[in-house]
Amino acid sequence: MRVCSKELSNLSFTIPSGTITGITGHGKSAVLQMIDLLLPLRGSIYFDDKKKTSYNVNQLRQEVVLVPETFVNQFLIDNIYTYFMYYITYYQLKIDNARKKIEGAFKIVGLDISNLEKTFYQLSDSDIKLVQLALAFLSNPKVILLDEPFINLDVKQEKKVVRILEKLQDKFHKTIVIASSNSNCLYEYTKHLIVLDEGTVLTEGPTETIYFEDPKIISRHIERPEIVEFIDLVERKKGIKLIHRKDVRDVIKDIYRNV
Amino acid sequence: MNSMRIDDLNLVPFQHFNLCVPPHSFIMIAGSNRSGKTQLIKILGGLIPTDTTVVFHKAYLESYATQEVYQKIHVFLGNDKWHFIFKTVEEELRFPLENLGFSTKEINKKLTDIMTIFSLDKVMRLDPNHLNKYLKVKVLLALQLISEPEVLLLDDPTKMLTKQQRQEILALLNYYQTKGMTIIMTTSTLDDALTAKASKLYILHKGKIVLEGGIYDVLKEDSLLSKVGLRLPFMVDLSVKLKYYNLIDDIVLDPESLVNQLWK
Repeated sequence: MRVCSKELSNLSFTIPSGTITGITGHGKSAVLQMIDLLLPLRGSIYFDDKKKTSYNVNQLRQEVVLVPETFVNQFLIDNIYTYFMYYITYYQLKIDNARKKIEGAFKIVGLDISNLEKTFYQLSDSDIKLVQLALAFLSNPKVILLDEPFINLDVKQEKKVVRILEKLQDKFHKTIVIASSNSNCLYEYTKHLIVLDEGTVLTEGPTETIYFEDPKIISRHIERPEIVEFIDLVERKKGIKLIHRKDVRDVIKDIYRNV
Repeated sequence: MNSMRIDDLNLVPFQHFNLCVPPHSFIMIAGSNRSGKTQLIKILGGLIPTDTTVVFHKAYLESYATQEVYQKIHVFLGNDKWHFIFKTVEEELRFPLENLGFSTKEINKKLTDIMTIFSLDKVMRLDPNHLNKYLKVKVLLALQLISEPEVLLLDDPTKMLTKQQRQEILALLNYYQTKGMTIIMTTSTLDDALTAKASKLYILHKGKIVLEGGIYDVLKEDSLLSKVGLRLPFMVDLSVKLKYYNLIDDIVLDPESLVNQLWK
């Protein structure tokens, strides 16, 4: 997917298909909302080199879905099952057996089907995040945009959501975009990274290369993952090259071998 | 002498729960989701009524007049459903002071003070509802602190913030602690406890305190902490594990000195 916009001073970047991409920096939420046509887009979006400029929201829902940072009950329906049914009608999704489809979506995110009869007030923040994901899967979109998905989750729940996303990307070749300000999460979970700064794209490329090698990141003092900082420090101070690991335990083994 | 105390609290999920908070201390309570953090803060603030369990200055919380409790104990709930009533930040901050019956001169002085402490001078004339998350948190915190309560209860105030913003908010809390305020704060990350230099750290899990003590003593228990679903701060994680390999002797927080200790 390629996005070009004049709204944020000539912004243009490419999201590789079938991977988990991260967006970080000031203006990331605005960019996601722009792709989702919630904000005016004075520019164009290309899907697989096909230009999509003026298409209606319902058509877009089949291809792109945004999971917002916090859940907004846009239809003011409390019961979860009714909410899902109304969502299908509202966005004119072509689904034959709605009940089965909804239950399937719940199964993917690992929520119990009995939750369907509950109201949103009865669920915890982390369960609502999973319901949001289930809602996003209803239209079977090619692209899933997530705005700060990990903010209300603890470590175990975060890992659970990541496993779901990785499964989607791996099995169904979905394109997943995560906007986050947490560099540790982005380094651990994303393959490709887009760094925004003051409304333009500062740099884009494979996450690892960007955090380790991009001079723009270092000169602009953009927050780097702590593990990257450490591996980099070892190389600068002692001239020892550690392997670019993502897990602390691996780094420790490397240190043990090198001391 | 205790500033606040909980005696044998029995309310789901808490069972025989006790907590002592000495005056002028900064207590940090960390726990994963559904550990009972928010509920604890609400109980301490008197928002969830409990018969004769919360003691505030030798008397039960229920025995105080409501007005008195609200003046002495302030509660900051860190959920994202905030809304402000007034059109500017200044009016928003002025309102509680007017309610408490301060003179105009005092109000103006307090407003300038809080403005400089929180560096809010640029947003005083703006609509608080249109500010970004960080500034909203700052304004809300200023609202709680402007009338200088004795006890400040905070429920995960740093949840939505980036690392740098967290540090700034925690520095503000440290400043008020040195001025003699008792602060009780919950958090979902242990990084907060480390940056805030809290006097005591509690780990809450399913309504029980599983660990308590000085920050470093608690952070050494890495296996228990990860079992309760908390992530260790990176430098602590690294040095605790290096200690197992006998590569270093103690927790080192500064990356540079750790590197120097490893490769002499």
